[in-house]
Amino acid sequence: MTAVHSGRRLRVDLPPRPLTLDDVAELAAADESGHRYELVDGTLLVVPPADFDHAETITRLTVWFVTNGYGTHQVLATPGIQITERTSGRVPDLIILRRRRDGRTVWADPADVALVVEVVSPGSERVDREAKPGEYARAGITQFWRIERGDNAEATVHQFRLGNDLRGEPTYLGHRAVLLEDLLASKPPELL
Amino acid sequence: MTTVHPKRRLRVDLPVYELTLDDVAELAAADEHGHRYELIDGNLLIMAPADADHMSVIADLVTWFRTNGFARGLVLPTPGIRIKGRSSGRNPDLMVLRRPVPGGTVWIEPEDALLVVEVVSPSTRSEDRMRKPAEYAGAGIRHYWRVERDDGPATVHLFALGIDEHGERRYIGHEAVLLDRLLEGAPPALA
Repeated sequence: MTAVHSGRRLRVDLPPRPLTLDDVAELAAADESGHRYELVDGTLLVVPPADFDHAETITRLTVWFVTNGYGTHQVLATPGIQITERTSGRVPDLIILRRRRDGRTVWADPADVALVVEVVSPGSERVDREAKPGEYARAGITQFWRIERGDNAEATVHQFRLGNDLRGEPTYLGHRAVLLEDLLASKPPELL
Repeated sequence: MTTVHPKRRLRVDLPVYELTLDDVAELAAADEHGHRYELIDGNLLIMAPADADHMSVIADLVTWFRTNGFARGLVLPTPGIRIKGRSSGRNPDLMVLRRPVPGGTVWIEPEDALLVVEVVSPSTRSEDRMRKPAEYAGAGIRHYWRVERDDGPATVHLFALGIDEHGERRYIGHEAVLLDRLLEGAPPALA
């Protein structure tokens, strides 16, 4: 008699080398459980599916952009962005693309991206606050928003624009904070 | 006519719930290629196996500790260490323990650790230089060494746990020594 274990799948089959963006695109295409796959210098990062609040925040932002004139081909939820040519890619919560791109693209060219939005979740705080802004800045993405949500306070959108630090390196500056509800009650900024 | 599909080499099957250290121990045990697994706040990291050069540095350090009087069960290459709850664990390159732990332990408790060593690779630079020291310090591990070896002679950066100006645990007391020089002498006292 064989024992059947239902619902429990735990298996990793990867080649013994640093992964590439093509590998990760393949993994992501086969995923059936809503995980996100990111790549940091050849190391695979598997992010568990986000909760409903997180997903709803993304939906609200998407709807806000689209009802204010941005095209559905431009407002993309959880797309891939290429960070380095082969070995690094991130999957932010939302991007605004400057122009329509081939529908089969998996990893967006950062030069095509006008805005990246990350919604911070328990578990993603450190990466969203420390690692990702630097990566997006070095990739040249001109605007970055980070949405902080706490238990006892209103969701807040922290907006940054790309500038140069004291050593001439790209960094996010010009910080403005606005409550999410206030943002959604106004018009989106001109991003393109 | 049949079409032959080449065997898919890439597959990650994970449950929908957030992974725990037990899950990751299971994954690591089943891995056939020596991938390294870490879990950070429920996010799974899978690293390519270390290359020969990296392994040599680890082996040299293990040998050095052992031939200088550190008992077998106290010097461990690529062990697991629990960082936080059941949702965060790291896989450093080397650990020296305060006391032996049961043989079947996968995730060692931070209070049993005396020293953690990370050998930096191009793919682990920012983790080894910034995020990991912060985690290991937060977990109260007394000593942290980092071996840099990219563009020059391998250099060991030694740190000891202290308290910073904000009252937070942080690695201080930085010393740097060439790996070759370090291995010529006896290990420093690790209280």
